Amino acid sequence: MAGIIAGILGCIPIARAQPLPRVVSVNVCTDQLLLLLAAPGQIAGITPLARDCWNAVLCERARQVPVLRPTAENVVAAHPDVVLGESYTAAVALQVARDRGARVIVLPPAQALADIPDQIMVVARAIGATARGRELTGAFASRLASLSTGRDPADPTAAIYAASGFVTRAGSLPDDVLAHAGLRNYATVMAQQTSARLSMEMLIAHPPDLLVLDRSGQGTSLAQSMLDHPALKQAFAGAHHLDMPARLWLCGLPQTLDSIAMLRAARDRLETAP
Amino acid sequence: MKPDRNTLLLNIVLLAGVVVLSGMSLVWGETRIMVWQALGDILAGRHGAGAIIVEQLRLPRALLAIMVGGTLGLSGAVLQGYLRNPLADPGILGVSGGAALGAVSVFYTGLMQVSVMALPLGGLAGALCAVVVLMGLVGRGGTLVLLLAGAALSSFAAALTALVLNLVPSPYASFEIMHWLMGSLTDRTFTHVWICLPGVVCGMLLMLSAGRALDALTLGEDVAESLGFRLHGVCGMQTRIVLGAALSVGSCVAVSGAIGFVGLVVPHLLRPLTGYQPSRLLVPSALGGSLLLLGADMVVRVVSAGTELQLGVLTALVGAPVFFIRVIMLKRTGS
Repeated sequence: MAGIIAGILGCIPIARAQPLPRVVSVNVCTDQLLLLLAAPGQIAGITPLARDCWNAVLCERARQVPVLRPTAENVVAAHPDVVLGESYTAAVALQVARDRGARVIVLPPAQALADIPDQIMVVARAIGATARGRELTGAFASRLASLSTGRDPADPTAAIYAASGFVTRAGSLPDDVLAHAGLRNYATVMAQQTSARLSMEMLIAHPPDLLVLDRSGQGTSLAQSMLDHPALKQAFAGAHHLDMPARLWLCGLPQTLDSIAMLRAARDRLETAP
Repeated sequence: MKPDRNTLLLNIVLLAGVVVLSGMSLVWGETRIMVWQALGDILAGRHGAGAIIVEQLRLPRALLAIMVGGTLGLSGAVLQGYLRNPLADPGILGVSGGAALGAVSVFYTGLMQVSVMALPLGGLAGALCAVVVLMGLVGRGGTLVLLLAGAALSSFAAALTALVLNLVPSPYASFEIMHWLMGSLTDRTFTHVWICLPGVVCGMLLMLSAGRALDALTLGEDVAESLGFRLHGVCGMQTRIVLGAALSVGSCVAVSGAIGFVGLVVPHLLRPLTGYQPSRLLVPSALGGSLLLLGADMVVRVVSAGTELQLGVLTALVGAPVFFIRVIMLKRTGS
């Protein structure tokens, strides 16, 4: 039933006399918002990064649309009506597109789950897919409500540990995800640390209840192999560790809610474990 | 027999230093832990936080500092004796650079998933190529030729290392050039100790076996050969030194990156204490290298705030002035 409704809603803009704007995206996060919302044929180009399954949850869908490297030249050559970008990337390409008369939408990186529906609607309005946007935001709100749990000062602590020993600090999307999953961010609890990096020794000496290993990037490197150090495996065995694919919360998307579900399950395992 | 007793005394002092510093590097770290309790946990087989920190983080690090430092010190002393040149050092001559290139080609391309032993073998292959090219280029040339060949070789290897790191799939790889060019012992595991050990032991034994031939060589190649030492050929001294240096330096660089200047500075500082006889310099140089690297690694751990300093930065800070002094002395003597 939902599929039929979505199909009908998707057809409405096409039935209109005015053609849909052609859209180019120059950032992996706006790429995926576009893939979620756009009608077929509307996408003039997204970044090659969107096809990388380590970074993008919609990598399979990205293989069906054209990609272009986000340079000013490529963006101008694609003659887009709307260009989507993020605050910190491809600034020159966005400026050139603006000068050529395209409508440029710049979104800041999502810093909280509440930003996600807002961003979906901004993109939806810009590309003429308001109905599809409402549908997505509605589904997002109800799933978030069913998943999120109240905060408690006695919640278990969780550290998000990424390659090279970076820990996720407050004011980021993963931090908000932790809060909604009923976990306290270890980086905020151990506030005396000044650096964004935390050595393995500190982590083991003052352990969080849950170690969330932020898995990102393909291939092998020293930075990534650090997460597989036997000392971490021994200190955070069983229920105390969780592998999280970074693509879930790299961008604010409806799929980000999957990370809350994973963390909730891990939290439940913590309570049953000795 | 007096110089012999001096060498023995020197060895004992250096060994004591190594033991004391290794003990300190187990006790002293970023976090304060109850070391005695941790040691008790280790002996009882319990996995407390302290036990894990000492056993899995600090112990492999200290062992690798001893092995890598010893290798670099010894190979510096052997290469200096063999090339009869006080500026020879695996780092300066590009042997470490070649080893890093070999290790990088194995580590990032996934060959290491086939077997962990591929990593030291890659380092060995790289080091061996570098030594063979170096020996071929230099032949009987003097200091200038040796240093030029070394400079060319090490910058070429560094460029290729950077190229490989840029081409491999991992997004983090290109930022790790510093580890391979400067060296570091951060977050090493016991796996690294085990894969490094065979090459280090075999390589060191091969190099130590060349000690008496090195003494004879100070009198010139013809004299050494007339004294019954085989210099060339399959079992000759050259093969033993080339293979020994490549084996040990290759294995070490594969796990720690290329740490420079240890092989230059340690034999240089100890030479006056051993009576200028190459064979007496070998064991003290190995111990001295271990001591220097243990000390440098402790300083690195203590001064770092957040991002850890590369170990090679510190050894270069100590070693480069010695290099300057040697160059100034070379200029004065006009050779």
